[in-house]
Amino acid sequence: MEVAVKKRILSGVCATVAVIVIWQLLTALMTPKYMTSIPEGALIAEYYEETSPHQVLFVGDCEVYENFSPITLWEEYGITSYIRGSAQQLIWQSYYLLDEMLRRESPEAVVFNVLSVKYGTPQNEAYNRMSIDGMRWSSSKWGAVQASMTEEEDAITYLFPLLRYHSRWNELSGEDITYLFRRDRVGYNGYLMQTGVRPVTSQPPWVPLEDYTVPQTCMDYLDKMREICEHYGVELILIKAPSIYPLWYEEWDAQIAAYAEAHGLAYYNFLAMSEEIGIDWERDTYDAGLHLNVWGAEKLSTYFGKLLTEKHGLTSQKNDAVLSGIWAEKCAAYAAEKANAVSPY
Amino acid sequence: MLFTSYEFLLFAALLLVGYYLFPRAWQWRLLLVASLVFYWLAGPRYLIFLLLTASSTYAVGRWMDANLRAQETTLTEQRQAWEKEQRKSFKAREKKKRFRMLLLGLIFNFGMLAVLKYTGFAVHNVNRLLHAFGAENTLNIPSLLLPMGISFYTFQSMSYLIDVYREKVSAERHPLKFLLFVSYFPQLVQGPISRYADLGPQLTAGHAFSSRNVRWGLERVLWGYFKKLVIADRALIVIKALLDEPASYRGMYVLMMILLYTVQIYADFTGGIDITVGLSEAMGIRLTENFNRPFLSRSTKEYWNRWHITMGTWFTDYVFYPLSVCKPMQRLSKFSRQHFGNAVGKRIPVYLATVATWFLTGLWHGAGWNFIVWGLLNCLVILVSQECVPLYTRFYRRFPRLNESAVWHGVQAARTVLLMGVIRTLDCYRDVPLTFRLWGSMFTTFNYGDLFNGAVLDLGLGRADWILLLIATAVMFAVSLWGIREPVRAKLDRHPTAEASAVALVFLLIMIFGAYGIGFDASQFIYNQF
Amino acid sequence: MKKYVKTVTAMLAVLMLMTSMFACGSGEAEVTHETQRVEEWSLNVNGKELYVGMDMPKDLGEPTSYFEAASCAIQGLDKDYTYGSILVKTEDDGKTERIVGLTILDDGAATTMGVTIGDSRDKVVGAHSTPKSESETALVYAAGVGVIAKFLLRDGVVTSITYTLGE
Repeated sequence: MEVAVKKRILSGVCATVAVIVIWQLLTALMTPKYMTSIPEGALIAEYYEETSPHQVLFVGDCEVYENFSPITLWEEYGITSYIRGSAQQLIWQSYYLLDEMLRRESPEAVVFNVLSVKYGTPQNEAYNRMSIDGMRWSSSKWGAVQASMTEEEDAITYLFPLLRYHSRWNELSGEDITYLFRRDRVGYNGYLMQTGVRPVTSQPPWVPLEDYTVPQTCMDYLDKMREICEHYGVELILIKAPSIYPLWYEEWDAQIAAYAEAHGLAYYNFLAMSEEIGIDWERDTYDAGLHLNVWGAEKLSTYFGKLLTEKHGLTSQKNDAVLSGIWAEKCAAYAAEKANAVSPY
Repeated sequence: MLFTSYEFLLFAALLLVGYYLFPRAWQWRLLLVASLVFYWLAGPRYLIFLLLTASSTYAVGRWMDANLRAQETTLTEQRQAWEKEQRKSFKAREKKKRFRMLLLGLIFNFGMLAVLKYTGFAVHNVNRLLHAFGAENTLNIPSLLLPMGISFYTFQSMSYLIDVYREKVSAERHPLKFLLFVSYFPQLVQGPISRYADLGPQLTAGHAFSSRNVRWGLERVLWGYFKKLVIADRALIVIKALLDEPASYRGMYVLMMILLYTVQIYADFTGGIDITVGLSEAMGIRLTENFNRPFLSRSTKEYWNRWHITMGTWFTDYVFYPLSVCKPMQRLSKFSRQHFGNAVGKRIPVYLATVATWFLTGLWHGAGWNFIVWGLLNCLVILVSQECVPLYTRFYRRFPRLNESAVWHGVQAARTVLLMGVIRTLDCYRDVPLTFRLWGSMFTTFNYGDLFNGAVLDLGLGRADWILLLIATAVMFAVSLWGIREPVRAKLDRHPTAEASAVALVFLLIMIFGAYGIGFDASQFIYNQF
Repeated sequence: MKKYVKTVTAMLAVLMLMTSMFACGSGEAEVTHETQRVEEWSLNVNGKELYVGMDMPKDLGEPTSYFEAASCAIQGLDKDYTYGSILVKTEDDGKTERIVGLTILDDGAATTMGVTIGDSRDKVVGAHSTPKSESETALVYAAGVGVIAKFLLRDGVVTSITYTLGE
């Protein structure tokens, strides 16, 4: 081979390698870190840090990751759990996250918060990103991408996030450098602790809808979720978290209840049970009833833990020394953060 | 499928790989399939019109060809029997027949173009007239679909037909090869308008893989994307903001519009042509250049020899010359020379042909009075400068060294670019009276302070983006100037390391700074609509 | 020399003629930043005319009730003001607060054409002409640029009237 040709090939190879390396660096730099603001965006990826299995997996939107505390479930009932939720997580995103998790571990129960059955079509690119970007590459992620994309989106941007985030070059901040290769933990087994207190002062106005039928796409994904749980021998539990907004219409509730009954699933509407749970809408919410704060989440978890133990046969794992060790660390970190908060009680 | 879409990149990459994997004799068939798929993806119904143009042009071409052959046979047979005069009159008769065939082809195809592209405009004007005469009822404006690139492929096909008639080329016998000439996809969107003699044989000839062709071709494609994505689409954000409420952006903003639109259309159009020419080059097909550094033009006439060259030469060859030498024009010339003297008389036909050519050029750019006024203003500038030649001569006689001064050349080029920029705003403001008023506002609305008080940062681009736009524009022109003597790719070719680094750098710059994807509303090539 | 001056003058004359030809067009269009205001689809609250797309007036007075909700993980607030029988929905991005929806909640308020909750389908069509689309459960009208007016029906009776951003 001629020297010139050799040199050309060598230059080409070197340039290609350089482009790949720089590309990876740029991707790490430009991708949003979700550390100092919008920590919800960092939740999905934290799951891969887990070293021990879980008895209960939660999937859903903010109504799970802000309303249930796995730490309380552990402390009070010895139940190990993890919440895989993100902001406005749509039902198909919950399904694909579940699909991914069930391939990695064998829980006893899966809990799905049903609010998202109100959305039958892809909604919002920013939320899609928060839900999907954190997933590792797998057929589940590809499924989530295909099901979630809004019209303006391209699947290739999930494969190469730089194609989506390149325009952040002029808004990079110190956060992007600090968290170039690492992230701080933002959740406690997927729970995002909120310590503010803002009482409910008014109810959202009730506005009638044209059609109360749950979209067929959502019912299809509910079927898929049920089937995959059956396939892995996991119990599926449907819940509606106690949040006064977005409105949860009676007509939707009836359809979900009918579905649960038809398929022998448990369905708990905690919104209707909030008095029984003991939620104090003056003190247990940080945003006037949309989500619970840590005191509300602990009450709900205590209540739900009892149900899990008594009705769904979950047993305490506290006898397991390894698990206890792992959870002790989690509990300590949780307690430390909670200790900084001003309690309304 | 836009050039800037991921689908197009995949499509082009697969085609390029397939092109060199195919046996050479089959390469053109792959190109044809790719072209038809490309067009079909743009809109299956458009394909019907493309096929109508291709088949009618092919048929008329063959018909003329058959006639020509029959004529030759007859002439050979009658070589002994016929006198020279007889042969001449036979040839003239046959030529007339072929002219009628040509006319049929032209009327059919230009008719199709006229109906699809200009019906709305015509009806709109008829309505205006009806309204002016007090009529209450108006005609409905029909909504017709406008096939992608119809102006380009119609012009290209008709140039073929006229060339066959003029016996410059012989008619293509293979219908599919001809279909490829009409539908060749890289140039469907925005030209260049190729001639059959140049492009036809190249398309169907096999091309062996050549590392240089592929490298040079793809390097040019990459540079096209740089111009398009980093510069044009970024400038477009401001242009769109200004066009959102054109009447409220006066004075300095009009000047800003003129300059930005000049940069935008240059980067967009030449970038698109770079992608077209580069992709073709990668397949061993050399297309006619459509630009030759128009920003260096020292006069409007020169500008039009350097900008959208293939359109200019099309109008010169197929409109201006035939019009100038046609019989009625010659009669008019004779008449006017007799009645107005030699000086005026000889100008009338040239002027008429020029005005007609520019009227049509304007109309070609779009179905609207703004485009027609744009064409006529170009015409006016050219004619005025032509009339001023004696003045210039006198001027240069007084300042003989000026004509050699690079600074003076720069001043002339800046003046030309600015003038063209001013006139061109007609095609973005779209409203002739408004455009004229906005031109006026540059001298009456003194809001030039907005340049420095942060007001320009409200037009969609932040400070960093403005700086980037300015730097990238400067780089674009610098690279263009650097390549005057020898193409930049030839310079790089001698230094493989520099070449590989440059390609990697430009690629990464496009990826980071390209105005593409969500958040940047990647726009279509402006020339799509023609 | 004279000849050239003449020619140039003639050309300028042509240019001016052309200018005057086209200058006879309409005057400059009024420019507005907001969705086009359409009187038919506005509602009156405390003496102020409200329509979808406008900025929320600052001096609308105390609402009968008020509810706000922050979007999950995204900056910005959705606000619901109830003024008697009218619900005003706004979006507040911190800089501007824009009206994105107007709803008539009960028969205490009516459209500009006098239609209210409990009226018949025929009354809607009689008052507001032909809808853009209709079904058993809804009548939808185009109510300006990017705004729709929706009358929800149950058993042929209006149950809700909403003006909102839409196609």
